[in-house]
Amino acid sequence: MTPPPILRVRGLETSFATSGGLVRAVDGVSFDVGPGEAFGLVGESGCGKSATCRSIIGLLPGHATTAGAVEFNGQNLLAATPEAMRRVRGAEIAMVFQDPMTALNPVARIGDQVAEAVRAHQRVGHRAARARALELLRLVGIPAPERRLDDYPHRFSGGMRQRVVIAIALAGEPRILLADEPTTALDVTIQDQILTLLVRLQAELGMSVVLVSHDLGVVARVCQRVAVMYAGQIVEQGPVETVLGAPRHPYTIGLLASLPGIAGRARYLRPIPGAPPSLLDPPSGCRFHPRCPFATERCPTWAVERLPVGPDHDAACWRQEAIAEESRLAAVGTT
Amino acid sequence: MDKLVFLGRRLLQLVPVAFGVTVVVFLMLRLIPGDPVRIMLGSRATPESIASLERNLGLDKPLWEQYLVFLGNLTRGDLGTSLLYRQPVRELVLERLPATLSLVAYSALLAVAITLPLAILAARRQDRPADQAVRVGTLLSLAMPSFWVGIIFMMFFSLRLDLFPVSGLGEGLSGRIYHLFLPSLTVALSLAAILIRSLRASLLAVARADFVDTARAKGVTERRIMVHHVLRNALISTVTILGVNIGWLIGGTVVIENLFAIPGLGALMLASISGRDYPMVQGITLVFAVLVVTVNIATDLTYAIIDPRVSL
Amino acid sequence: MATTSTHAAPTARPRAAWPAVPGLRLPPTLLVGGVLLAVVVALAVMAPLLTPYGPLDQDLLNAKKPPSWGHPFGTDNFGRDVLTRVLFGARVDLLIGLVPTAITFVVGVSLGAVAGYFGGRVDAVLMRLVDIAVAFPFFVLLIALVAMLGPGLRNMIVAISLVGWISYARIVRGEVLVARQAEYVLAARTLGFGDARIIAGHLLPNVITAAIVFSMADIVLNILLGTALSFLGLGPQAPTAEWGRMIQEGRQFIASGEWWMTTFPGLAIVVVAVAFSLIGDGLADLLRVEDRV
Repeated sequence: MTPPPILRVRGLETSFATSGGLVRAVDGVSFDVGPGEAFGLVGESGCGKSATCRSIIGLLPGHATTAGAVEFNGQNLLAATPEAMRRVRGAEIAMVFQDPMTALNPVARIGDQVAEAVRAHQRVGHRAARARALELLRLVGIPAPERRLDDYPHRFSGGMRQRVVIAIALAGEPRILLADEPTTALDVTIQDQILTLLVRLQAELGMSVVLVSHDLGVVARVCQRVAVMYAGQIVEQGPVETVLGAPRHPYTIGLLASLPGIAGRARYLRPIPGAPPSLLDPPSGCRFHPRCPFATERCPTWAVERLPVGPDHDAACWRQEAIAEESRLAAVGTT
Repeated sequence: MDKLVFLGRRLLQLVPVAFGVTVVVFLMLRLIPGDPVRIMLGSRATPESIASLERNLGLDKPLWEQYLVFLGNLTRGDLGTSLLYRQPVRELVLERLPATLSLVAYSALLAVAITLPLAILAARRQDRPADQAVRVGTLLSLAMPSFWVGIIFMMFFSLRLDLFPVSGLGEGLSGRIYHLFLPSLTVALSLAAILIRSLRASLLAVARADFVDTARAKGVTERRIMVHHVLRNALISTVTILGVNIGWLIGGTVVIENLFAIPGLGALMLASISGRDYPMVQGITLVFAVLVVTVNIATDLTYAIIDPRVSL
Repeated sequence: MATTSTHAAPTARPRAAWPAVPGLRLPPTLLVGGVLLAVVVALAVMAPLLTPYGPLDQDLLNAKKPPSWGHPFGTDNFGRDVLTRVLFGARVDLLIGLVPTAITFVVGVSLGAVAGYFGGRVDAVLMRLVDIAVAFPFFVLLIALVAMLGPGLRNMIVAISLVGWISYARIVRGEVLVARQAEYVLAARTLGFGDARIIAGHLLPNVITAAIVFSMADIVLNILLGTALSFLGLGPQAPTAEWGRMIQEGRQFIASGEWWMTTFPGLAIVVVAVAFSLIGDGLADLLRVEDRV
């Protein structure tokens, strides 16, 4: 039997008040994350994956409002008091940020920044926190950490800084690690090292990971399950092998086709035409229909729902059967 | 170690500035329309006294030679002789320096004490009534002439409420703190207005930085985020603003010393001007420049110490 | 043609004839400051019409009288009407604010533009001058200069002008260094335009906004410096009606409770300074220039 999920997101809506009006960055997103599971959120930039991630840990800017539920430990985090939320952050749910060059305080020593995370939730003295910081830096693979504790961030390379950010996230022994594009700002070779580290840490520490990325390859490397987001909504969700191996939603198909590595076997060997819609005034019905090669006149009025495809796999497209058939024929035709 | 190298390099940069400052101070005397010696001596002028002063000031020699003599005297710590007091300028200046320095230091301290809570308040309540009030306050403070503010303070705190003395330095440390409170507060207000504007802006900028999110994601308290992350970073740029403006503050003390009858350098300068004691005016101007330059070096050094990114 | 125009006229006209005019949306600070300044200027210009007294008219029998209907701001130790002197003082103090600012603006902007554009030796000399000037406390240097030149309104303005241009030169030099690399300047150069034409025709209009915004703060500064010099007896001499001087003269009477001689001229300074500060803030908003002061 599968154990009950550790994180349950239900009907999450996150809006930002802007001068142009209310932007609904996340619009009715639901998913579960199991204990010890790595869950991926993919989509183009601006699709609401980062906003989803930040809604979970309560790190949205002041002009944002949320609705729906983020259930963790029987508690709806969206309704938690600031103090209750502070206790959750770092200790239960931690986060790794996109840009390691700006994620560390430039005027504080590395050791102190890690130790601060230790002491935020554990009643330990300065020396014990420092010892723990040293241990954490060693765990994330900083060479000779005892000599780096008193260094400032500017003495570290991007990859090393991201390791420090990860060490900070691990300091409170969280049960869930949110990673928002953790490798996007890094060189390709460094990206690989950081991903290897994340996979290793997840296995060793048995924590759940929510990985946000625009890169399907990154998600495929780390995650067991994946949700594909488009214009603030999840369009397809399921185990990584099935979603990436046998995609059902036209957007997922398009996203895969635009990947150079996998594109060779697909028919749609091109980027998706058009641009993501404005979230101030999203298209009616299925939000992907203006860009979808399979769209019919029913799509702009279809009441979007996620339809089951297989075990733990669903897609928000009413034509998915027909599309799957078409893709199969096309694949046969090209080979 | 590298901080020492930094200090050395900074001092080396000062050589041309110091040279220029001495040229300006030296040439100041040339601005006097007519014969400076006659004007200086005024009613005391006799053919003998004119000749002797001309020889004393070296005015009978060519300009460049006069400058070299002036420079040579400076290197020996000789700022010339006061015409009014018939004493070396250096002695008179050193006598008055402590009063001015206490006024400057006290004002800077008060300005920082006013700035920190108000800037933090304004930044935390951005665009809300408290922030608006602080903004109006800084606008008014920058629009008020300090000598007038000093008079209003005198009328209210000294004459009406009888809380503070109207003039003088007082005896001992506590007497000095008590006597210098109103003058220092007067000087501090305009400096605080500048500092509040600058610190408020940096606090708002730093609060948007990614590392503040990192700290928040750690589960650190808001108070700690403010003090250890936001304030600590925002203060770095404010230190520079403080350093730049201490030059203004030092200038401002001249008026305030005059108003509150504090026997400092500024008061001496004004007395020397009305007594046409030009060597004294020159000497005091030079000492003021030395003060400003010293403060600037101290600022740079502080900056280098508190900002680890300054690669030296 | 005729049919379509008559037909389309009611709907087409508003669009064509009423384009968006961004300039009409003035920042409130600019409006308030502008109105305040207009009132001050009007009062200064019409001063003789507004008061039955002259600024120098003495009335020793009515000396040191507190504010009343006949003398709303009271009278000074010579029985002169303080309101009248405040009104006439505005003429002198606006001059103290505006004249040195205008001089330093022109000199500083030109030198800064030339230094920033040509770089090299011109720039090096200018920057050394700046270094030297900022080594002095500004106000002390002013006092020393006025002391040497001799007290008086004219020498005060000369002294402020001698030192004040530095700020403009610094601001404009920085702006030009950035703008020099901009595409429109490179384009002008490829078209073979001369240096003078590039500086005057292309660079200055683009970099001058920062200097204009600063000049409002500079007017405030010059008024504060001027009144302070005047308060120290280095400005216009007695019996000129000038605010700093009036505060100086009224100062000795505060101990005996005659507060009006110092309070009202000071308030006048604050009103004028606030007006220019608000205009400066509003201009910065309007021209979207960051506060560089």
